[in-house]
Amino acid sequence: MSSIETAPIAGPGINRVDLARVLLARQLRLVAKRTVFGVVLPIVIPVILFVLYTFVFHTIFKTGIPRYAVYLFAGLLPWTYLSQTLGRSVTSISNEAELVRRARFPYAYLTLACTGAGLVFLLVTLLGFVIVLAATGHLYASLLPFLVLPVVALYLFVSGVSLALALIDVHNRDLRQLLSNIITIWFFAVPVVYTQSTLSRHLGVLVNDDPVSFIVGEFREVLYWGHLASPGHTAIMMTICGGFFLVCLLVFLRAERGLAKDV
Amino acid sequence: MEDPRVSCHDLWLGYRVKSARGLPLRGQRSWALRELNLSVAPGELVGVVGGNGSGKTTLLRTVVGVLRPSKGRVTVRGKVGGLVELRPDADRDLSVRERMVMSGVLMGFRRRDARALERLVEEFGELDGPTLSAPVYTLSTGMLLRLEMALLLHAACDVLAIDELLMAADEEFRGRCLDRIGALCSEGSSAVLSSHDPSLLSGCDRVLRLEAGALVELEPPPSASPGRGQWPDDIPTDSAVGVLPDPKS
Repeated sequence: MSSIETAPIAGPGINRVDLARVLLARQLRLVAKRTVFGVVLPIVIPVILFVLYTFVFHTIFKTGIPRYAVYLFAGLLPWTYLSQTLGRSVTSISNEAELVRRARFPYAYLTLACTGAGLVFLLVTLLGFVIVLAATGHLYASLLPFLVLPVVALYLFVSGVSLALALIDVHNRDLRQLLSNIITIWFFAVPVVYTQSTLSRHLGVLVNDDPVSFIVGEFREVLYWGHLASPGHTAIMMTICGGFFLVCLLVFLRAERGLAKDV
Repeated sequence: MEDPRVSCHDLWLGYRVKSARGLPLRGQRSWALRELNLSVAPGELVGVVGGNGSGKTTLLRTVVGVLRPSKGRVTVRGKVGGLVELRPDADRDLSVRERMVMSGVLMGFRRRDARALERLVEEFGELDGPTLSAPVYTLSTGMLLRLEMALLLHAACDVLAIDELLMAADEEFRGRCLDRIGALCSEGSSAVLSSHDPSLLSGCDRVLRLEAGALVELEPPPSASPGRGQWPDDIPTDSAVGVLPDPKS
């Protein structure tokens, strides 16, 4: 048969780089399917929230923070990535039952593709923000390379939480129902719309030790304050986020062989 | 004697019993496979028959590596590929071409070979360009089967595990798949096919019956075999199984 002669050669196993790229592209495509705005919407959502929060907290409640628009958006960027991505990745295994039962492959890739797709949207929005800052003369261009660390920390932390949530969701769907409420409560415990010192007065340790507060703080150092965070602060952030990701990944890897039975 | 391609030793596989709300009932387990011993030699074509719920799909999923045995050991030598799950609602919004790349990568093909995979699917699966551009949800199970089988049967697998999904194929395509499976086994690959219809497995070297998760070997194959790798012409198609009487007659 002619098809046998023209068939490409299959390798002895799954190429993991190809798998990661295909799953990531698949996530990005799925966001755009059956939509008018396609991938534009996830990029624009932080802008919509920005307009809303600026009106509420700056115009109505008079926060008194100088250059509030820049302050707010620098915090909203990482926060929106977290909230949007967790909302999607909680079902990243449960909704892929067919794939999980079809073949044996590292199922963590499904969740990491979800968080990776969110990262693409974050980077595009960040690029737009940087352009706006440059156009308005508020950009500290020489500090931009130092954003890499908080972005990596954010990806690791969100991926770790996502792996844990996706694993729990396979066995128990309560969390799926509660997640949006938990994220809303968490939002008000992170200094996104107001300052760290305002929050610390009321919530203390809860805010100071939250990895997301660390990450938001580092985003603001570069984009708002125009100076670098202390090396100690950055080291703590990277250690917490990297360590958390590793722990969640190890737990996931231990549990993933049993997923096909329950998914 | 060569080492077997597939070896199952004292294999037990249990599912946790779930309540009506889908929560596991503590300490309760239903056994899908019980004390199963199976050995498949290189080049051997093994059929597994059994009624619904007898454990055929669970056995094949275990061979593919998707399910982990509760007890016992499964050893597979070489690359294993399987078709044990096929639902048109999965990836429903992707195009067939996009799903093809996804399935291809899962079977060991490279992403850069997408064009060649497309030709393969067009030639072996007879899915044309417009079909490949259509969303997955517009395809029937039979069409989706053509896509997956075209890839699987050219993925250089040492072991193939194919569930009763072939029943969804029309007679001509099923014959082509079975011929290809026979040819692959002649070249040294091994295959395990399952069906609840014994006539579909009459070209197998051995047919085993699963009853409540336990394996009972049958020799020779249940219907008069036309010979190894030779398949009968009158295998019922999906549409011919359980045909309702004409209400007018």
